[in-house]
Amino acid sequence: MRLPAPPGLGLALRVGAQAGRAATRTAEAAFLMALDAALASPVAEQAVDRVLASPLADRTVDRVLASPLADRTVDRVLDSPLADRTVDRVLASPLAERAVDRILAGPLMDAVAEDLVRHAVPQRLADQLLEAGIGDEIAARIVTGPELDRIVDTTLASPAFARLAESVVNSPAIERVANEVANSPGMERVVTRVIESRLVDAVVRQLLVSDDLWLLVSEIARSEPVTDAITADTLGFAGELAAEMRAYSRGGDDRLERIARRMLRRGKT
Amino acid sequence: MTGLAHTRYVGLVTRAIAFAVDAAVIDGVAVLVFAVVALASTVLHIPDDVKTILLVIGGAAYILWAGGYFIWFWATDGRTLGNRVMYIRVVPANGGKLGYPRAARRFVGLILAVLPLFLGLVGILFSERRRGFQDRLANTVVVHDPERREPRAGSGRRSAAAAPSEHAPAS
Repeated sequence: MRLPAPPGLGLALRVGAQAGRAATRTAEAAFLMALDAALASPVAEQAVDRVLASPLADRTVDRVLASPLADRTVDRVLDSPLADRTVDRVLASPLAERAVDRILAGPLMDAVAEDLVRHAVPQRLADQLLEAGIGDEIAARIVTGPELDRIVDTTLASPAFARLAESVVNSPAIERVANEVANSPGMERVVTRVIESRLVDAVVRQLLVSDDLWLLVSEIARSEPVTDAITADTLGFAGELAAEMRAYSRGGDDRLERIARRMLRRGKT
Repeated sequence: MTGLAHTRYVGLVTRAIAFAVDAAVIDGVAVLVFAVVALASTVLHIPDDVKTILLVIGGAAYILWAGGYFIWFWATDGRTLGNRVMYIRVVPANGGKLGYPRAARRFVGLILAVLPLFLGLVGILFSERRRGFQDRLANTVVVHDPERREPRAGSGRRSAAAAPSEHAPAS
């Protein structure tokens, strides 16, 4: 059997709940105001410095961080809206900024860096990233993205690139390397393979049936320097032939004459 | 009479080669003209009598063409095309200019020298200045012409005949 609720109990409960929520909001606002005041005060700054510098803080932090209770507490705290607002306030405060500056300028960063290097943390991190395929994704993003085009365009258009290219092209080292490559047996084998490949045969066949090629050949053949050279060469050859013939004919003149006179002398005797 | 004494005068072999070049030019042009006329006659259906007349005219034209060729070249600068190839020149034996009358006389002398089985050319072999019947008739000599050919760039070849030879009209 269920007893009927006394009149006014529901209303009392609702009022009580609202009063509780209002009290919570008031307490939260008071806490945040007190936090702002504390963060802005020099005393808090000095306290933070001392706490950070004390060995007790190190040990306490180690123990707290090692306990399961800390995990749960941290999870709950991090899940609460109050933690969000607290973190926001802390991050927005000049104290946090000064603390970060001091941390960055202090020996802590050097020690952290040394530990990271000693335990090969960057290498392990890089290995894990590469195993996860992030490296491939980054490479694909760079290759397919417009940034690469912009970088290449900017680089090619820069005077520094022109100077660099000129110095590279004119450098004796490049010339030496090019000579070594050109005269190497490997390059000879590559060239031989290319020449003997079906690709070259196909290219030659395509060229031979190409109208553009024959147009180019006829243009070159009709060009003035080529016709002049052919004419000069032909005339030169004909001239040399005639000169040889003249030399032989002069000798023939004398020989024929001697033979004729010898015959005449014999006829007389 | 030695060969050295004749170096400035042209012998029979060189003159024969020059004449062969001239004959090739004359006959080449004549054959070309004859071919054109013959082709035209096949289209025009010319009667046989007219063809005979045309042949006579063609023969006369050939003689005129050949004579004109030699006379004109000799009279102008003493060099036919064959003479130019062989670098020889016909000049008066006593200097001066050859002229058309003497060139015509030399052409007639050439025909007369050739007709009796080339006997008129024998004088070239035995005379001191290598003169044939036509040279004696026209009082001319044939001398080597100085070669002015420049050596070809880069060839480095130069014939022995390319060396300048002496040239002066015989006095």
